[in-house]
Amino acid sequence: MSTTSSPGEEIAFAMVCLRTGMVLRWLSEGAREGAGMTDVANASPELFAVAQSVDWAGLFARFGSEGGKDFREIVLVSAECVRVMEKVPQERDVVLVAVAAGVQNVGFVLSGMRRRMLELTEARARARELDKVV
Amino acid sequence: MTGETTNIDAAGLSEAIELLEHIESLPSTATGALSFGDDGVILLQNRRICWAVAASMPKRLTDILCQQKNPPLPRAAMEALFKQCKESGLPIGEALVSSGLLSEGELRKALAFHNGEAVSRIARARRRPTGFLPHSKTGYDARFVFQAVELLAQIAAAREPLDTHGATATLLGTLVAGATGFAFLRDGERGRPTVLAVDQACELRVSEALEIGCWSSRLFDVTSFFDPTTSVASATWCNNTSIVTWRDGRVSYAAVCSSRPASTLLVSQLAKRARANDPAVHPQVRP
Repeated sequence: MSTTSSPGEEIAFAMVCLRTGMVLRWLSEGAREGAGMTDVANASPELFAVAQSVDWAGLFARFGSEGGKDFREIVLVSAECVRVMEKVPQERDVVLVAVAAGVQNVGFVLSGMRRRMLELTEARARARELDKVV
Repeated sequence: MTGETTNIDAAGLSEAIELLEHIESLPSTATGALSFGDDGVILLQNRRICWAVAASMPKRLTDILCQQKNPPLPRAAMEALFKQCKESGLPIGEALVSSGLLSEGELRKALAFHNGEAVSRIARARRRPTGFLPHSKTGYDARFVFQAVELLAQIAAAREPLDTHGATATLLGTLVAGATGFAFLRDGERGRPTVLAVDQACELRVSEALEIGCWSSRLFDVTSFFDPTTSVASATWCNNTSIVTWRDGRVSYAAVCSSRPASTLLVSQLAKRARANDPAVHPQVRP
């Protein structure tokens, strides 16, 4: 079990394919049955795709954000749940999805997401080092 | 902030959008008079609208200014001031504010009303200008010139007077430092959102506001499949700039946040509000 949690609050994580909406890897036991992770995963391609109808690059360039072609993170909040989807750097079409049911503190979920993303990045770096050795 | 309830005839919103988008397509330095034959004229300063007048307008700015105050401003005082301005060359707006007859906000509101009505009437009469006479003088006070999207909100607000007042107050009360945005109703004329209120600092173009409104509506449509109670969403661009969108009853909102702290603060505040408004968390007590 590798959920990020504090008393009464738990975040479930999964890696999701942004082309198919399929869960590639469950990163926490709770993710399998927790808070409709599969539903969010299935909707994630659509959630990122809806952004493509707008010239966001041109818009954000005027607001001081140069470069980039698409959104890298989407956060959804309802009264009962915070959901965060963030593209995994250097892994094409893969997003890390966090579902936190019953969580009130958005900052708590975003911090958990950062920690988890850092762990993934470090694990990937270690794997690459190992590949070089082998 | 524009978006006050007015009695502008709001028919022909699409024509107004077309005209305002034409203005936005001009160079950012466009300063001068955009003429519409006998139907009216729109004065621009660096592509912002400083004054518009339509031949068919029933009210003059003087009437609007007098009637806006309660009790109404004495017409004699207004006319005396107009006379002084004519002699001294001082812009009437500045004179009204410096004389204490009107506050800056009241003057801006009256000008937005006047210019919104003029643009609406000109657009219905003639969608394209007949000519543009460039000016080298840029003497209009920057406080009293308008973005095209602000006048769009002014025109559109007449359609939805009940929603506009609350939307304006909510928008103003919600935006944080580093965020600028607008309020809208989805599915307005020709399936486009109806922009109800705009933050005065909002630099969005008309087409961008409409597109963001469409994007927000589609995003919430998708969330309805797995959580219909989703009321807040944010999407972050590569470099920490975000769009935050939220909905409250019939009215939706969108804000462009120029930094990560701004979007996080805005989303956190909205999340607390969503939870506070949740009937499951705070059931209504019946006597």
